Amino acid sequence: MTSVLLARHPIERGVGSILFRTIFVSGVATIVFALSRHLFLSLAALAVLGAADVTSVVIRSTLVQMRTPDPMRGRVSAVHSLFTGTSNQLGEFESGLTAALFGAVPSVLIGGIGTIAVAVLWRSLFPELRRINFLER
Amino acid sequence: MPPKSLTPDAQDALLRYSWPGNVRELSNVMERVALIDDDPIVDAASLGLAEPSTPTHQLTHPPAPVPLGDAIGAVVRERLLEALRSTRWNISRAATLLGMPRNTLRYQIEKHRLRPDDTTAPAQAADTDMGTPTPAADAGPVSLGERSAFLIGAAVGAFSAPAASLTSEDAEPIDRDAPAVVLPRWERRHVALLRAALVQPSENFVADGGQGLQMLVEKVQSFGGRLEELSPTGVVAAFGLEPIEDAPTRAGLAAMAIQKATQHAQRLDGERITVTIGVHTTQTMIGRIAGAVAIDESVKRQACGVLDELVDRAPLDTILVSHAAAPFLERRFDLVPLAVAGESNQRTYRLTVLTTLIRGAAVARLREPVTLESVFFGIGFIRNTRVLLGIMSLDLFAVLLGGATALLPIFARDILGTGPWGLGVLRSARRRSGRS
Repeated sequence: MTSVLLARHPIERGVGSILFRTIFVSGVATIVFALSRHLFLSLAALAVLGAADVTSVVIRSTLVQMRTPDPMRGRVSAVHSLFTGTSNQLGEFESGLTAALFGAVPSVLIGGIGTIAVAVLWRSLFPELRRINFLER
Repeated sequence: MPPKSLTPDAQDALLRYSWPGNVRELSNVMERVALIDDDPIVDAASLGLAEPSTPTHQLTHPPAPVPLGDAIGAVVRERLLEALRSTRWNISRAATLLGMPRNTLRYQIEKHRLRPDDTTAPAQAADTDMGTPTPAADAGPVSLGERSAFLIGAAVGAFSAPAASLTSEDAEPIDRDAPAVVLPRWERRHVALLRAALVQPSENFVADGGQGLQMLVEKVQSFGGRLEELSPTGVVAAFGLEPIEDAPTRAGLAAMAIQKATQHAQRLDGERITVTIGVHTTQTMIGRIAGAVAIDESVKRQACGVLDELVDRAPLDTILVSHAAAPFLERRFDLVPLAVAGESNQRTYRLTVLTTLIRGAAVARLREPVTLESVFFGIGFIRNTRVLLGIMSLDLFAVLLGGATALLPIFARDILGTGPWGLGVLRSARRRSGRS
């Protein structure tokens, strides 16, 4: 649904700001999901998490393509896919490990808090990302 | 190259424009449109000619934007003079007043050529500290023809007044000294720099009005470049100070146009003007203040060092491209890799031909041998491009920490107590709104 919406209404301005906001929202939705004991609240949290996630993925992957010169695009895309591919598996390993150590709820909670922390940290470490206005250079 | 046709509004624009630069200006405009614009239909906007009410008569009106170096330099100079006059040229007291060491003040006095009897106008300075000095900088007074001298003077601007070195670190001290000055706004951008050096010019080259030099200036401006340095035997120009996507391509096209023009002059007049050209790209901070634009001075000096090395190595009548510029140029130009040499120990390339000029030719690929360096070049590129580094590392951690979906079965069974159907609903909830 989010993908359809983004296709109909593409992000035109304030790309950097939206990127950090969507990651922040992902973190908050993850925390809500971790703490929820009601099925419908969990469903809503997961829906928000998915929408925010797909938006930030669209922005990130588009930026990687658009900010790379043509001759470098293949090599940069290869490195990017290596990052995202491995981080998926590593993420599941991290969840399993923390769940074994602290339990399922603290594991997801740590993931949500960590996501927010990463968004805040990266916002200050990479101010040029925050200032990106358009997807195209 | 496929033929292009002019739309009626383009024809109107050509007829209405007053052509202060005569047929040479027309030739430059046509050359630029033919090389830059891929569209076979050329409209008035592509020609980029000024409206009749606001003609770009460089010969009668100097360009409006003032180079940032001038703007800052003038303010600094005024502040120095003010302090020196108020202390009757007592260096120690003036230095205390300005909040700078005495040696720094002496250096500033020397740099701005301040004298006790100096009243208003900045001293005329032919050489500046805007970059690496050129070999011909000490060549003494140059008697350029009046027309070309004015054109070049108007184009460079900075050469009529002492220019201040400007780095992104300079902004705050300048602001402390002169509260009225607005701080420059800095933005990071890829800039292409071109250095063209006229080699072994004829003896009457300077005396005849510097036509070769004038040609360099016109070609650079025609492709949207801005002169950064000027000497009797060459120029350094920057492309991409304004937000354009194809700054390296424009620099490459300007280089080819210069090379073609010198070869044409050799054929017509038997003039032995030869030119060697270097093209380099760099990521730099661009400062903007009061309509003026400037490159971070320290980055520009480094880039000029690379350009000097390229031009020194280049055989006569060739264009050399730096390792950094090659990826941006290989799509439109044929680049021939040369042996690694020089202080930088980086591979350089010889730009030979514009591939789009070859009818039906496939896009030429860079004939670079596959080496360990070229394989890992992508990683180095990401490491040096902060936007890409930021996005990819953010991607890595955001995905890594968002691995909650792996625990959905535990949540469905033990925490929400829903069983298998609940797990299905939970999984679909995320998939319906986003990815799994």
